[in-house]
Amino acid sequence: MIKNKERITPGQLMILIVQTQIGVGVLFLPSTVEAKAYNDAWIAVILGGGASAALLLAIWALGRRFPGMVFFDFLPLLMGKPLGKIVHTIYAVMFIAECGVILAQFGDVVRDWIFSSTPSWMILGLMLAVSVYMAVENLRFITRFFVLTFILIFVLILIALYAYREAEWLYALPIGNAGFLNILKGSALSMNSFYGFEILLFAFPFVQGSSRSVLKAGMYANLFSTVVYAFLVFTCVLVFTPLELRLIPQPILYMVKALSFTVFERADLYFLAIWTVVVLTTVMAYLYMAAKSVSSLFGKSRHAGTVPVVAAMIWILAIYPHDQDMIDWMQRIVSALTTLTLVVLPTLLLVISYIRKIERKEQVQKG
Amino acid sequence: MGFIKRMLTNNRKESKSPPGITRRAPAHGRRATGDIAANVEYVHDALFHTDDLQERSFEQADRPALLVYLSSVCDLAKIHEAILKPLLNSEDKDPERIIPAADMRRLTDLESGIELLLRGYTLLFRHEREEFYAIETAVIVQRSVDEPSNEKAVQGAHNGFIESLHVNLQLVRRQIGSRNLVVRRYSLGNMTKTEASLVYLNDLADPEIVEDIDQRLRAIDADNLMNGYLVLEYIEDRSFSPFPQILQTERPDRVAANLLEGRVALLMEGTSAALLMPSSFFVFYQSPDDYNSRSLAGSFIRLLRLFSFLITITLPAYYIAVVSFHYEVIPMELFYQIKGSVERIPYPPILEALFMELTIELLREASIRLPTPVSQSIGIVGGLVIGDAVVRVGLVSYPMIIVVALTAIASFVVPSHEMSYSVRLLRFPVMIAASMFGFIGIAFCLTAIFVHLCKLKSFGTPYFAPVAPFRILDWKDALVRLPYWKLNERPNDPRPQKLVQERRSKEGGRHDQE
Repeated sequence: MIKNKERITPGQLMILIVQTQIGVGVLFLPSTVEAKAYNDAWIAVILGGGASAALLLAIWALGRRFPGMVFFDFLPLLMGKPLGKIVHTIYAVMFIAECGVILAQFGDVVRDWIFSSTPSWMILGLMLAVSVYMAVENLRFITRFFVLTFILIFVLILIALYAYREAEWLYALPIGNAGFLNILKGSALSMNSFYGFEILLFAFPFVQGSSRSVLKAGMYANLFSTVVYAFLVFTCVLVFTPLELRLIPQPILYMVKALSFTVFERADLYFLAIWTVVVLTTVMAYLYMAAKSVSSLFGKSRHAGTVPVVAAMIWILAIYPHDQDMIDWMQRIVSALTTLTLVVLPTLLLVISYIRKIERKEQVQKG
Repeated sequence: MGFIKRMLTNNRKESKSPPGITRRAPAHGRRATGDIAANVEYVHDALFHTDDLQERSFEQADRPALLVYLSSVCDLAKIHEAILKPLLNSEDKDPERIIPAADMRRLTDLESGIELLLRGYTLLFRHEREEFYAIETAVIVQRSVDEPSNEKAVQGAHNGFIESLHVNLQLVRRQIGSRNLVVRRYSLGNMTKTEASLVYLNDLADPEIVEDIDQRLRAIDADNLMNGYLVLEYIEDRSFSPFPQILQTERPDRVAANLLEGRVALLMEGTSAALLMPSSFFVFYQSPDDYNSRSLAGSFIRLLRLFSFLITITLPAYYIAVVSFHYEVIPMELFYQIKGSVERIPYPPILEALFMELTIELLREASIRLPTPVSQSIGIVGGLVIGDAVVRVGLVSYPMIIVVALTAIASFVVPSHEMSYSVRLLRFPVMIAASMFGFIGIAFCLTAIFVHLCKLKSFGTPYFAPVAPFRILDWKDALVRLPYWKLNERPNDPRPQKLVQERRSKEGGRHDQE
């Protein structure tokens, strides 16, 4: 059932997860978390990474019990057919909505920073068109591209590293100033940026090797994302005063904008161009997941035909909100959805699987 | 709908062969009889009494015999020296003992005799014999094995393929002495019947790939397959991809090196290039030069070429994006210069760029067709006169000239002509995207190109290997070229049967010296 041609290695899986996780969050995470956790934002992000590691573990434990099956194959086994269909639909809606919000946020940044008068439907349309071109392929091809663009994340880090010339280490002190409760609140907010590990739901049966190596790859991926996010947030905490951080929505860009290299100025524009590709990989992954879930909802095994349809839905969803309030409103709905589907449901399913002892007995041959 | 369809097809009738005439020869052929006249009559009928079909009757050992040949493809001196002379001077009845020809076949089937006749064989019929002989007497007109003008190398062999399959195969065999080098013959094209040879190393090339190529070659049902360039489009994976998936080269050393990496070459009569399959992106950026110079120099040149790929695609786009949207990225001192130059131009940068790029393409195209002395003056007129005047008049800005000139030079660095075309084509969509969406547009466009590269396959092997799929071990001969004694393994992308190609030679050598 899983063809040899579609398999990926654990190393590729790691990068797949990282690329799906790291996306728009790069720009938004610092200010959102800082709003709650103040100068301890980076601790909150690390805690958030820990939480997402736990969720990743739950998804892995679930996937391990059904070797060779994609999430939506075993969903009806656990919940029964009718309930399974409903949950399946919720997942499909979640992927579409999440992708829509990512695009809406991206469109916002582009409008604010570069093209104030270019209609965002155009940019988002182009972005989706490029993503469709990738998402119609199977996971193996997608991963190949993700591995190719993985280096861009390091470029982003390098650019951000330059900001340490203006860092003020005292801003990080005193550690724990915000109080435990605020840090927890901050890490809850940071979870949004860690979503993306759910690609494991789709990728698990395609990975070569033991389930242990899958877990290892997933954990390394999550660790990597956590470190990158924590680093970026920490950098922002050091560079900006707490007061400044509250005022500006995308602190990283402000930080990078001030940098001056001898060869070129305005590093933020380069940063944005590279960040565009990083977001593109996330959009591709979400588009793939959305198309996969929609096509399997209708009992189709191939997802290529569904991708343009799903992309059109995402596009409409992404260009619909026209002010900050609406985006915030959408984000609230989406975070409720993601909490339900990525925090509550996997745990619940795992519990059901263990209690009712449902799992797939036969082992799929390794090939 | 029928009306529209008819309009689109220009009222053409569907092509059907008229009844009664079959294109192909009868499957079982026709046996020769003992009657010379009947045989010759059959040959004449089969060739529709073409006027270059000549015959020469004579008596050999007191029995009538007859030679039939196509005068247009035969060497008369050869017929004279190698067939007639010995036959007339001997009383021996067995031609196999008399005729001093290496390629002489005894046949009974007239149809296969006619096939050979068309290739320059002479047929020998004898009285009351049901078999006849086909003796190779083809006239060979060939040029010398000169260095190909579009693939010159500074260091290394200076011979190149010519239009003769025989000579080309010889050149390849000279390079590789292994008994594993096999040649599979094909006759391609229903009408052209062009001879072709698939060459590969039996112990290296992936049998699946050879099988795949074989199937694709056999699947072609076309009248005209005169040369390799026609066959190429029939067997490549994606004809509408901007990237070539089969390497064409006129250099025997390049073919030999690729065969030794497990690739398969297709040589054809009348084509002075070999087609190498499967070819990945980086194969197009390798040149014999980087193998014939020392490793450091070779690596430097290769990196330079890959850099030229990026320059060609992105430099004009980058400039357009900067001038149209992102003035801020230019350092202050340069800003005034560029701004001052661009401000006098009434047109948007994209038009300027397109105008200049097209001018350069025109100059290039014009200089190819012209004889060398004229093309040089075209270069001067085009490059110096137009370049200078265009700026003075105020059509194009100075920085744009620099950018376009740099791009043009970079696009010619690619050691493969085909790849050079595709790179030059690709910069146009990137330029247009840059003129509309600036850096973001470039990012989108490059993403699309790289996604395409990741998706593309050449005969089932990933085209963008070893970058996607990522295999850093193969970078040592793709992005750079490490010393030969470091290249222990062959590149993985053509799926060779054996990976090891070198076994710690250097260390062995050192050990001996101690």
